Amino acid sequence: MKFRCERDSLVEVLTTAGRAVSSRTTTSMALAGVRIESEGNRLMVIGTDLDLTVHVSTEAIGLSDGVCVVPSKLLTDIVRSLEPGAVTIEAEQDKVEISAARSRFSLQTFPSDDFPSLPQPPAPTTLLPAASLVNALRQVVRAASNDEARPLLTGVLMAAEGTGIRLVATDSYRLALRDIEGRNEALDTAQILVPARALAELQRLSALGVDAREPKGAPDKTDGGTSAPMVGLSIGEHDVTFTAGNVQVSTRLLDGSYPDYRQLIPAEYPNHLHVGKDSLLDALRRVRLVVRDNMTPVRLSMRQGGVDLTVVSQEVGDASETVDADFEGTDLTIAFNPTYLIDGVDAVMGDEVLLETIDATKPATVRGAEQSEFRYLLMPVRVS
Amino acid sequence: MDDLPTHGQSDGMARSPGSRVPSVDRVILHVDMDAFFASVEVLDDPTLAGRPVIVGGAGSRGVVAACTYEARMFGVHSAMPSSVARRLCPQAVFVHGRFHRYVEESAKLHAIFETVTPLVEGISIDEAFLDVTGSVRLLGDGPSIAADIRRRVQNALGLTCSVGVASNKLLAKLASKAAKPVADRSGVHPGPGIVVVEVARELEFLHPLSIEALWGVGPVSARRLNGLGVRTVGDLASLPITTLQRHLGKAQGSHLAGLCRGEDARQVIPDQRAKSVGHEETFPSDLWELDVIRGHLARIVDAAASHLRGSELGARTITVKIKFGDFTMVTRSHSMAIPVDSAPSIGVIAAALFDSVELSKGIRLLGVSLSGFGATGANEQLSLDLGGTEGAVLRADVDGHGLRDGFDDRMFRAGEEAERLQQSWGGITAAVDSIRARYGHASVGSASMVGVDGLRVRDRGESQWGPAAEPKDDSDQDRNHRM
Repeated sequence: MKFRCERDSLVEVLTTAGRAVSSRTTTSMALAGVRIESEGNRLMVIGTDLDLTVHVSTEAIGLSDGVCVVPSKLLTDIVRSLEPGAVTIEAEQDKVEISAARSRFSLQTFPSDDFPSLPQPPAPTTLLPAASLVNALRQVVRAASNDEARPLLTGVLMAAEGTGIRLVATDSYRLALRDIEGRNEALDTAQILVPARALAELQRLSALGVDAREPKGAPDKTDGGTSAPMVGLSIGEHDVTFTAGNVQVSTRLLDGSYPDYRQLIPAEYPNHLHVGKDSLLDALRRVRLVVRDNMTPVRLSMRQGGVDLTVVSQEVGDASETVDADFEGTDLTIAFNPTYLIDGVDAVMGDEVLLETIDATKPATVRGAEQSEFRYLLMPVRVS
Repeated sequence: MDDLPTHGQSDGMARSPGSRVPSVDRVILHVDMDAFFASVEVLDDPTLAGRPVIVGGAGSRGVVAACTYEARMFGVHSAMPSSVARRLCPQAVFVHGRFHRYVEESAKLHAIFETVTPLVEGISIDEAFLDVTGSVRLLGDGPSIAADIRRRVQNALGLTCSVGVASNKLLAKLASKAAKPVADRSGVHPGPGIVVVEVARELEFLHPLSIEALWGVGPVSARRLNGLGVRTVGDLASLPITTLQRHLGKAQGSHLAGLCRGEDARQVIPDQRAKSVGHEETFPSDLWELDVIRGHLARIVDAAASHLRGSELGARTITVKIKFGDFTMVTRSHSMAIPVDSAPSIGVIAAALFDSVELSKGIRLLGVSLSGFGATGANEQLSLDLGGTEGAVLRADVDGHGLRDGFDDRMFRAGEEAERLQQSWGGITAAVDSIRARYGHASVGSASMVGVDGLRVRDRGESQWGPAAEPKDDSDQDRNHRM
């Protein structure tokens, strides 16, 4: 196997595939490696930890076809450190040679038979606009639990809702819900529970074409000429694959029945607070500075004309701030974990936030004042 | 090779001891109270002065926690079963330990240490390492700081201590031991009180010592080494490291090789806050009756909870420890979403954990420990009601010992009950604490703590060296002597 590729393209594909490679030592040494395949002028790189797999491809100048499995981190570090320009990679038997300008490295490779054989994922059956998916992931993934003792809550629920797809995540203290428009044939009958970790990786892909970065290498033709990049979704029995440009992210699905979240959402709220997103966010971040543990709440005293934020942090000090706001309802003081509240407010799109409350112990909702596709349900902290 | 002086491994004695000392010599003190518990008892009851006094559990299962040098003349030492001590020294006065008094005196001791250096690492209630490297300019050299500490301890507590001064923890600890009084058949011989191991003369001090003095040399290793003709640390140092490793294993071998060169790079780490509090009791004879055991459990929980509240904290994790008559032991623990501190809420979890253990054998020891501290009551992050156990924080250490079906479910329900009790008992618990603060520990307690002799409320440290009371049944006692 031999090919030549621009350093920057190579770093990009290696880093992307490398994200799925576990840093832990696993049963199979080859899992610490990425599988590199050169076929014609196409270069394909795969990294996997068996739960999460990332396939990425790019254009290269193919000199001879072949496959090798190379230690992921080492190779990425080496290629990243090279001078800009063309990098030549040549694999022979149990060695791979990396050369660029006047640098030359020769690395031991893993036997390519030791690398798990991964089936080629099926073609996407659903297309979602990449921009709304990325936004939805940003809003929802943060609410998923990272407590391995509660495996179901480490996932994000994706289910058909109306004519689109709904994403839901909760760690039992807060719940984030987001609807996106899109064709949902694949999810018509099914709902899937996707590990939040895989979605967090998906979110980071530059191949999604958001953040003003166009996919590198040869873009797929799935765009069909439209300007907005799309993400393809294909659902298998035990896994799901997201296809974005030249990258495919596959993950095992979580198995189990997700809690019935619908019954948690209060039908109506007596108290409504309309407040500027940025002013509330800035004030919350300021008062949070005196919080030194995860038990100290921020108190919100809501009244006509404004909301007072107070943090009393034992052994540290206290902080308070008043933010102008419109309030309808009965005056109320309610306390929240400041980080959870900031997560919710920050996730809102638009300039104005609506905070809906019932009383100091019932779930509150944070959402954008002018939109209903995102909702963030948050349980208060009970204070005496 | 050649005739140059060697710093090699082969001949430890020939090396210049100063060659491996770090650029700045540390000055480490090890302060150890002399017969601490026993001395406090003598202090409080002067009629005991000059007599063999043994502190510990006097019952058949008790052990010696401490003894005066007069008792040591007869061969009594700490950790010895009380029954053996009684045989060696029948005239000894047995005193049941009063932990709260030792804690009081220990606090005075630490207050003195704190004036010398902030780098105080308490090893136990009556001994500590002090790194006084930074205090030398201000307070004088190591030996004079040591002398000052001894004088102040004598004045403030009326007790004596021994101090070792050296450049690391290992040598300081060995030095304080050498400073102690010695008791043998001929009588009690006062020790020097302070022993200083001077820099560059460490090996002179270390090498004549018996190998048992080194940390990590237990009876087994000692026997093995004696078999090689190694009796002193000096003998050990002259052994090639490969020989050591062959006989003791690689890790242990190189560890010892370092020690016998007097090397110990460990820092004095200032005391950290305790990570758990708890209470445990060894019973005079094995317990079989469930009602009786539950009663004991309630009392132990009460003691642990009371201690916990003393530190103004709540605990999230509750661990129950059970030692059976055959010395096998199981622990069960459960963590909750919110910290609790009231005896009823801790009790319901402890009881559920206890119920999960198969009790085919009698119970010798029962203990409860509380960890995962956090502020209680005032702030509680509420949860969404997700239904089923998925919504609960559920974690149990499962070690495969008689875990019954439905454990998770039961713990989940117990957790909910505990949270409810924590809410409803908050005020009552505060009232109990203030009554106890005013009228003493045994003034108020739950009905399950009532015994024939009134309320039996446990104090911290009580029974930790074994029970005081003799079992009524002599045959029972005899059986218990066989361990």
